[in-house]
Amino acid sequence: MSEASISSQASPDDWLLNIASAAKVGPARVSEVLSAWRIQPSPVIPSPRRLLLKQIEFSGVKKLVPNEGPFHFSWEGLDRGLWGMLTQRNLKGKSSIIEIVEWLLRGKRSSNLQEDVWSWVSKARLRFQLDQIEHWVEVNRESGFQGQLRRATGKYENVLARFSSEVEFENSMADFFMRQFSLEPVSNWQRARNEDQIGSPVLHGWAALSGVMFIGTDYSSLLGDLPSQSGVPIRLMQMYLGLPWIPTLTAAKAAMTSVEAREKVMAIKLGEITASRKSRIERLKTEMAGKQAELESTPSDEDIRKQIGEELAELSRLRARESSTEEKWRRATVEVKDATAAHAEDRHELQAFKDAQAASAVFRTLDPSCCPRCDAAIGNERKRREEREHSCSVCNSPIGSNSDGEDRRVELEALIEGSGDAVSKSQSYLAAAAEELATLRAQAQQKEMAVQTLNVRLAAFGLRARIETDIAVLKGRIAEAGHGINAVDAPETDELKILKAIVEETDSRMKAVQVGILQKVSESILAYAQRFGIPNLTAVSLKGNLNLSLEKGGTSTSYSKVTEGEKLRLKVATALAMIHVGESQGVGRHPGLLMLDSPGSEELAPEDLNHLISGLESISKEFAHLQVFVAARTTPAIINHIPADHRREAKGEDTLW
Amino acid sequence: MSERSPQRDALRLLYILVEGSTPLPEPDDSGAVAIFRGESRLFAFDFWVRNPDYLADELLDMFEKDGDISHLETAKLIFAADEPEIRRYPMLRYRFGAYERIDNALSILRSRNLILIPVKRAGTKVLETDFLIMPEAISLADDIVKQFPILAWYRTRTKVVAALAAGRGGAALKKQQHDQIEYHAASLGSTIPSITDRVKERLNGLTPRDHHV
Repeated sequence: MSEASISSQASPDDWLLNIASAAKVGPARVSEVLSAWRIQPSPVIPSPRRLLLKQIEFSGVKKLVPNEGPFHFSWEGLDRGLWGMLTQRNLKGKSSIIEIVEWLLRGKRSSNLQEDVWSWVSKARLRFQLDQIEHWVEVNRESGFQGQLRRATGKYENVLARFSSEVEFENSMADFFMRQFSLEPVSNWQRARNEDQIGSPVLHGWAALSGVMFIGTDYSSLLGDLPSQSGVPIRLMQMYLGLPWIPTLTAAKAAMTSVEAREKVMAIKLGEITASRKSRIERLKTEMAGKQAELESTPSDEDIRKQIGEELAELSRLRARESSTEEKWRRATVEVKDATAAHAEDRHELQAFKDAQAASAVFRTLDPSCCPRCDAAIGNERKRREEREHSCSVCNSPIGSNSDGEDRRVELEALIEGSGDAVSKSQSYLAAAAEELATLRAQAQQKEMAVQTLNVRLAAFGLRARIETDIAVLKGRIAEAGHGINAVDAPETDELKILKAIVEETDSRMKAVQVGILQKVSESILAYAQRFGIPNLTAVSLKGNLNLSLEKGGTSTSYSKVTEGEKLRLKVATALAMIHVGESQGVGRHPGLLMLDSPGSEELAPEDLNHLISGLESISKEFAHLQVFVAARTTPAIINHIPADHRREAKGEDTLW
Repeated sequence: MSERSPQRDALRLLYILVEGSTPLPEPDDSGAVAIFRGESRLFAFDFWVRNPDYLADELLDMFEKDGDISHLETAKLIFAADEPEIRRYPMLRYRFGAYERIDNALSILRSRNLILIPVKRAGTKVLETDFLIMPEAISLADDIVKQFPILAWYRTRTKVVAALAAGRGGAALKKQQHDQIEYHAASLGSTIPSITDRVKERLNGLTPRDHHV
């Protein structure tokens, strides 16, 4: 092994000191961060463990197919070298054998395993060696789910795990192999969909890493069947090539991403906190402005007393005017009454005068016929004397004319007009006084109410003091809410800085090793791919991020852009190149088992398939620990490269099991 | 106060006597055709003619008693014409009620031979306080309203009073007049006061009921 030559350039002490100086912190602080995130230096990769299948066995009952009924498949005597599962037609069970092996090794069935096949298999058993130590894994699904993993130690047999459910089975196998192969789960940072969420780490465990042993029919990724973003293909490369520092780099990157995400979210949260405090301050300020306005509109008791004094003075002026107007009104009332009475008397007088005049006229036409005293008749002599002398025939008094009556009537009518005038004048005077009085009384009442209101406000003792207290409290709250608002920022942390330094230092160390290795792998990929019949391929360059760029017919292209058939050949070429370079450089860590499913199913010319199979044959011969299985349709090329005792074949319509 | 006018008093008494008289079954020896019974009845009549406010009050009593709307209408007209002021000739309260010397006025009527003021004669129903009405008085009363329309009021008013008295005697009428507190309370020899305001108020209070009717 040439591991020593690699470890010489990778002293963990230098590594730690370099990180500390880059991050400008003490080594102790770096150690804290390393242990907090479980990051360990990995300058040297442990020796690889080798896996060798010894026996594949499964049984059950086929249903709803032409050859339905019980079946039992057992392939014993397996060992190193190239092995083939061959059928003349598709759907004859060759892929199922690989998938059942995959299931038993992973503890988790592949999504490619067909449902009907899965339902038929009730018992399965895989015997394998790990570094020459015999192991069995067997599952019985006849009733429920039962299974166990056993190890033979010398003369003894050791049950490593029992499982009674698929979950237990998966966990047991993952735990077993991760430890056996000294693997760390690949933790990859799954970014959250929303910015304010942290996201979560995703662990890709054994189920993903075991992909190093299987080349299926999905060629979207250069290594394995998970996309490069999952971080798994790079780990798979590490399993092929065993590059130092990669576990450290992976862990440090995951930690850095986690801290970055956490700090970003924290910054957002802090921003929210700041915003909410600012809005609280705004609310408090609005409230305080309201209180201040209330305070300004709330006069002090002194002001109120002064106002009451003014109102009372005004009220007493109004009362004085009211009283004088009342007197005026009273006088007017009396005047109206007097004028009305005088007017009535004048009218009475006129009526009486007119009646008297008329009555006089009545009786003047009637000459007395007798003495009203003695009833003696008035003689003719007396009547003649009255006519002659205008003296009464009864009493001799002179009988006056009625001529002055007209003057009296005119006089009385003038009196009536005068008194009537006085009545209407006094009435309008009275009305004016009454209106003035009503106005004054209303004004006085208003003033009284104003005084009453002011008295009530005066009685609301200390209203201003209460408002002032409220304002003081609000000021305090605003100060409190604003305290250190500018200091609220993402907390200063050296953690991210240190993690970045770890990533950079580790990355540079890894790259120092990686560059040379990748160069050799690229050369080897080119050689295999050319043998497998990719035309016009002149250059291949594999990058650390697993980008595979190609020069094809003088044009630059890449793995993702070539045809499916070319992808298959490149994918196999890459796997073989990595095993080749890894093993020859002493950094290879591949378990040694490689199962390749149906390479001929793609557009692959027979001679190219021939080259591919011969490539597998030669590499399995070159590295004695390799065990390679190929599931394919029976072709002369395959028959030529795989010895008969290394083959399981189904002819015509037959199935392999 | 207006000047005294015996002619005006005589005219008033003429109508009271004519409207308040009862026709005789046949003219008596002196030629009289009707008789007005009782001097106190004459004073009672005169009181109502001279005090329209008291008359209106009586009319409202009547209206309330018999519901005859004409009483109410008459009372209203009395106030509408301001009669309680214009037509009022206050009387003095005397021992038996309103009283005024009426000798002069009666002399005017007697000298024109319109009435006879009898003396007590045995065997007759005529009392010395009765007044006999001559046919000339009745025709004169008719002539006056034609020649002096201004005086028609006296005939109208005395008809109202006569209807109010409804043939009752002087004592009954005096008692009725005494029922008015102001009349009763007036001291001997003092002017019987006006009740205009009270009656006007009463009339106003009655008006809505008029609408009901």
